[in-house]
Amino acid sequence: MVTLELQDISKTFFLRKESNGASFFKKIRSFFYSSKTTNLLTKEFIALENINLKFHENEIVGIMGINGAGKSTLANIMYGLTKPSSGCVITHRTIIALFGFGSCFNNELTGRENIYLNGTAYGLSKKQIDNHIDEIIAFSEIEEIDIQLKFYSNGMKARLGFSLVAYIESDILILDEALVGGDAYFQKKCIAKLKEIITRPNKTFIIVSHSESLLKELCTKIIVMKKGKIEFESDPVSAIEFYKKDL
Amino acid sequence: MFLIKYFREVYKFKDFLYFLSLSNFKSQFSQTELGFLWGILNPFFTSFAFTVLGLIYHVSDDLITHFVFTLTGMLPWVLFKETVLNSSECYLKNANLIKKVKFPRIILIIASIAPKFVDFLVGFAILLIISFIRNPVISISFLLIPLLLLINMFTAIGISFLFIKPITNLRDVRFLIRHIIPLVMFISPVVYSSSAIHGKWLEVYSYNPLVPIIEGFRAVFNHNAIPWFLIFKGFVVSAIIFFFGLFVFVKNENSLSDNL
Repeated sequence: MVTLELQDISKTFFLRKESNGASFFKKIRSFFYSSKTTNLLTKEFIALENINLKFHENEIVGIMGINGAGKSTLANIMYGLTKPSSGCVITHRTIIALFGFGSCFNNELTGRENIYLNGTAYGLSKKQIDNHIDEIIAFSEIEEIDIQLKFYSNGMKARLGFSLVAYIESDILILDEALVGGDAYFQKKCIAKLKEIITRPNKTFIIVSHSESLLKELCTKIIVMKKGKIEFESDPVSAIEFYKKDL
Repeated sequence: MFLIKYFREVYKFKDFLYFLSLSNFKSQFSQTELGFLWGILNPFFTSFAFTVLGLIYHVSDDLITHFVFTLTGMLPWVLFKETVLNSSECYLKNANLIKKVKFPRIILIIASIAPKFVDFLVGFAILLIISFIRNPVISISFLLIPLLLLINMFTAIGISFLFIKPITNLRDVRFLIRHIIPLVMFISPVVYSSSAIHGKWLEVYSYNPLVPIIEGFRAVFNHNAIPWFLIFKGFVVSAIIFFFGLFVFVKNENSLSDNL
């Protein structure tokens, strides 16, 4: 069953040009009129072009591509953080994307408070986190959970961020650069956890990563992107082969 | 109908609102010994300065009376100013969050106000104590305070709603607002009484929602007659500002992240 469908998605960003001789009054005027038509302040940048994709239940899809290929923009659009310039996203399921981890960490709060802040940001209730807080802390293996986050190392923050992932409830889960940070031991632990999570029934997982081995291990399908377009869509082995050749 | 749906969505994130407010509150005065006392000192310092000025220029002879007079204007004014300045910049301050997590953005606004509101409540408690020592009467008119606060917050949040888009898209507006908003103090009866305004200007002046708020505060604390009509007018104006602002905000809230 199709859980998420992308139809003709395109995304164009309008970048602000630096002054390039336009007078102050022209700039003010272009702000009041639509900045897209005056073409004075803005330069177009096409991030995605005519993306058509379908995601199904019980599918684990990997997305690969070099930097700037549009992977994160695509994840952003699927999640609904940005609207596509044209095309539409069709879904009736709940969808959550995790970009790196700890996107709403606050350095002034303790590790424990940050777990609550992050968890509730992804739609969990305080009660749900209360029920799992001990498991979350145990998984992160951080002993100094009640000191302020600013005294944590980056690796510890990454651990804390990842520990929440198992408890986030969503029909479609997008993980963008999920395993950045953390030492080799913890990465292994994370991969084991991910393997456990993706066995959940009737869910769709989308994993954006540069790590070929991770995607090969976990995914049922891999999409290779280049310059805002889908270059290749196939089973992991041939997709990775294509990706390597294309580099 | 649409609003009910919207606020039901907001209600789902009530725990996030709590923790984000807590986070804002804690980071505001981190690594200070006096902590949130700094937040309430501001209106007291300013009120004291204006009281001394009042004594020097013989506006008033009694220090305490004039201090209470200024403070009843200063507390709601500072709440208004801080609310507008903080919540209209909340997209910029939370850019990292907006680019990565999806939730009703109105939560950012409410959470940015929460610490300011706590400051206000503490200051208000001190004002209550001072006025009770001077005149130990508890009158029923104190029940009017929540309504006055509602007018205050409606106006402040409504104005912030309108400023969010221009501030996020053109940062010049941010600096403009930082200079303009403090000047609003002079067209509001913060350090003077609105009885100083005469003639045809009084009609125009009374449409400023801060006038009924501050005059209402003073009437309650001095046990004077409540200016009902003025308050009614302020309520209507503030509700118009709020709901118009909310409409504009909800329409734009998700389209602004590209410029952050």
